[in-house]
Amino acid sequence: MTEYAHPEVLVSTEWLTEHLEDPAVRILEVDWDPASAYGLGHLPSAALVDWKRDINDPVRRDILSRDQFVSLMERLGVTPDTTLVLYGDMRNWFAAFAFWTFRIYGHADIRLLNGGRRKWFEEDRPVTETVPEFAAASYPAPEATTGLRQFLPGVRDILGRSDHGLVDVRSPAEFSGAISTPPEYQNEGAQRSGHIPGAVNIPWAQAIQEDDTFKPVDQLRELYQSKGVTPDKSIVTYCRIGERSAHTWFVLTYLLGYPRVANYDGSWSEWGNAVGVPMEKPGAEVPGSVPA
Amino acid sequence: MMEPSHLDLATAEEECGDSAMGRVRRAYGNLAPGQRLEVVTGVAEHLFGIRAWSRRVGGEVVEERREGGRTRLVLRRPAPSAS
Repeated sequence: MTEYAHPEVLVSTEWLTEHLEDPAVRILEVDWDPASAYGLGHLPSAALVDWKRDINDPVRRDILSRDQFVSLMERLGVTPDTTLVLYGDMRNWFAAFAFWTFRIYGHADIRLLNGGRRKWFEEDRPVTETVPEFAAASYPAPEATTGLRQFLPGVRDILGRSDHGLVDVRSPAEFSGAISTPPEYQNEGAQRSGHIPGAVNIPWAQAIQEDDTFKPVDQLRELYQSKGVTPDKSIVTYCRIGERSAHTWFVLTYLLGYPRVANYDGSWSEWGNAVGVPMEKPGAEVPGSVPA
Repeated sequence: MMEPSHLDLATAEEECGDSAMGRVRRAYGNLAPGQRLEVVTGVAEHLFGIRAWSRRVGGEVVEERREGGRTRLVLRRPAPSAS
């Protein structure tokens, strides 16, 4: 079996156990619902990053600004030289989103805990309710990288182009339009259900194994290339709000080494609400058509 | 005794629906005092979360049994204590 393209972005539970007290490493648990995860128990010395509060702009729909990123890093005692190890609830989706966001702001050494909370708890490794405190650090404002992110106009521009690929990582039911948004996520709702024309459906979970660690590189390559998602194309990933697609963005970029992958974080909650954009919904009746 | 409500977490977090703990909280919240909730899961993280959360809210774990690689855990919502 060959190695991942960038194996240095993954750490194992064994490695992290040996680095729990390493001052050069800052462990961050990135949660969508901290009360159901970090608040009940977390890895020793791990700090909480609340996805809704810390990774998003509090007013407009956007990722955190550069200034907010700097404030977050300083509050967490992180300098540009710190090794960040991310993991989190919901099977590392939001940790992957934070990885993507921190990469946009240029943090150099970011790693994901392979297997995340599930594997850590499965292996009965140490857990605590103690919240660590860190001395504030100084973090110079970085330049933002723009190529990792895609917006609605950019997605519209690549429709039908053979040198681009769109990967919808939602469940088959969401992709087909059978379901739109679960009732517990009302603020992620869309007026229409279906998918972006030309997208292929490769649910995010197909990239992981039963213990939530990533599949071997050969299996990942087969998974994506068999659906036409090849490294010669510019790839855009999307889901509903961009967190599951950040997971697949991570796989394509770092495990398979695709050179041009962007995450469309507006995703279906933007596209499915936008007026006049094209969409596909298998079996849907087109106005004006005559039923067969 | 009434049969407990049943919650299987096998497919939790596959389709970006409610989290496993969110489903437990919701189901537990629908219990009347004295009623029980049976949760089945094969995920150690879920079990840890359910036990820890139950302690926080004063719930009782009245039964826990491992069966074929999965664990069956029964929570009971206690009746309010007389003051």
